[in-house]
Amino acid sequence: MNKTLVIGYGNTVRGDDGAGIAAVGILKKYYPHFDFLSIHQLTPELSETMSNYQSVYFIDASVEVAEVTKIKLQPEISTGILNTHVVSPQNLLNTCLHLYGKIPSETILFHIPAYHYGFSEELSVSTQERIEELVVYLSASVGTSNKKI
Amino acid sequence: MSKIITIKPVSRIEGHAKITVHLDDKNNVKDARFHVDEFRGFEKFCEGRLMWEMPGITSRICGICPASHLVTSAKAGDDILAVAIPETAEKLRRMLTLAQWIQSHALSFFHLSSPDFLLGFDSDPMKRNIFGLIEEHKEFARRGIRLRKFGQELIEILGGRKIHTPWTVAGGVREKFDASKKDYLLNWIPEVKQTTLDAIKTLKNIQKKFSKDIPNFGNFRSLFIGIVADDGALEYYDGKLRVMDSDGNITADKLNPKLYTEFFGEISETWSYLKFPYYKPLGYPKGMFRVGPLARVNICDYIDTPLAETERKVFKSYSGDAGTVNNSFFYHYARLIEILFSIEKIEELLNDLTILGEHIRAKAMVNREEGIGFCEAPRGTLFHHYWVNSDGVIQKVNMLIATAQNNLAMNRTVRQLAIQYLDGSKISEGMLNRIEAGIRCFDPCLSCSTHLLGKLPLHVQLFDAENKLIDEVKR
Repeated sequence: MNKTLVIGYGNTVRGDDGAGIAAVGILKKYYPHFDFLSIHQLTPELSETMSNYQSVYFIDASVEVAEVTKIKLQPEISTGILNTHVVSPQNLLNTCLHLYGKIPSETILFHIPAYHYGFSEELSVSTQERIEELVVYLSASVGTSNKKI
Repeated sequence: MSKIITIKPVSRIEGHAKITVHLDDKNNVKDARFHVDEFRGFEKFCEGRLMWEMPGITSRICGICPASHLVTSAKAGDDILAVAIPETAEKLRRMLTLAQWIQSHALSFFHLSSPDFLLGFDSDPMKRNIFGLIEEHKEFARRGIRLRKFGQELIEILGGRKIHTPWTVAGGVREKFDASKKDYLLNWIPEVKQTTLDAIKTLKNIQKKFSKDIPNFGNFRSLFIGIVADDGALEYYDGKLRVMDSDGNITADKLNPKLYTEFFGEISETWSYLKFPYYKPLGYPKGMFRVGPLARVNICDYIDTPLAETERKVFKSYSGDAGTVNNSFFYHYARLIEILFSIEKIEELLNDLTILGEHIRAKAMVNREEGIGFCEAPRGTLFHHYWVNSDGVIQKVNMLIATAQNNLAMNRTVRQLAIQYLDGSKISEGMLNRIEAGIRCFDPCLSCSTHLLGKLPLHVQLFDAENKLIDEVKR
């Protein structure tokens, strides 16, 4: 098993919230040997998919960061509140461990700075620039791009 | 002095709500209310959009049942075009609707409600969720997740993505069924059938364990309303409305769903954004009715798939001397029966060569200035009603959502549970969760049901330190 899965998630009609999905659209060109998922929200079913990969990278938009950030994830103890809108990457990793007895050797959450969550299918210029930074950042973090960035 | 106890937020439902319990001066429950305090505005901001965009826009109402909105919106579009859609397109839309039932019902039973049943109403609330279930009942949780995945993947195969697929359109569907996926899905069928049968077995065992609690979970007389096929079979895509009372009498039958405004009235209360629909012939609030799985399995004459029909007969035996199963707890059982039915129907459709047809869309211009679509969404009968101009620009929208139709019954359930479990003015975790679990029987989707904007109650009051009202805004 030597596979990498990149999961970009967010709402493409709420402005910068769609940054994760936009990033996947760009990264696909540079990492043809990776698998990609573009999804609206995280759901527990993803844990089974994750269990089949060595590396999983989540990409999400965040208003809480000023620059592209990288968080290495570990399985997390679940909290008492759950609906399908608040499943976190950590929850999925936890589910993966308990249900399938294995987790990716590396799970990373990349946050892209987001500024506007209004009704729009377009990203702000600032978030678009941050996505470009993510491409460079990812290249530095994981290397292995088949194409020059 | 009277008191009000507030429970907020209500957890493990789709959306945001609160419950208030009103006590009299002797600490007896005077009233209990289920408040929906989220607010959206789909009906208003759809005005001015093209009717062709409506399936894509209205599917955004909900992340759980977008396919039901897609299908219903596309059917309203069919009505505006005045077309009969190709057989292949109808069968594919039917398959999408069934996949939607599976994934939504599986989410409700396995992810949201079964933690209460398997871990116990009085277990640690921090662990009483799907993740706690995974730790304690690994195989049950794994199979529940796989069952929902089956529904999600079928939606993705049909529509290109799991959530908010823009696949159904006025006149049919956009893309043909990918025949290469047929065997993949058929091979999955035995597993999901077994998972559902096992879940039904688990639920029956649970009923014994909670035999003292279950009679209090919204056990009352009401009307039941839903769509049935022409021959009285369980139906989900087309058909006519049937109304049944709690004695099992069919009080109205073969009602044309497109005349829904003749049968359903709506009342607003000042304390909730969720309206209170009622059955017009009986007036408000006597015309309280229930929709969704409990209603559908109650009102149909039979189910035309063998495993589901076997379970329907067991379900009906729970009605005892009454003509219908009146306890809202059995929404869960009806939901599992509907999953079983959906799996059997999907198997039937996958083996039907018609789904591979090339003709999937009827094309026409605007031929009517008004169109109504309906189908049985996971939570009950869903209606989309559009008015357009001759260019197909939306002039007005009305949507009648299943969760709202259950509003009176949900409030009645909350009241019954509060009377039973409230001890003085103390809130125990067990009581709190039983009230929430009572609401979860209905699997309400509040994102869907508060799509409205317009003449809704908005009431803000400002009180000073002495609890004296000093300002008030009503709109």
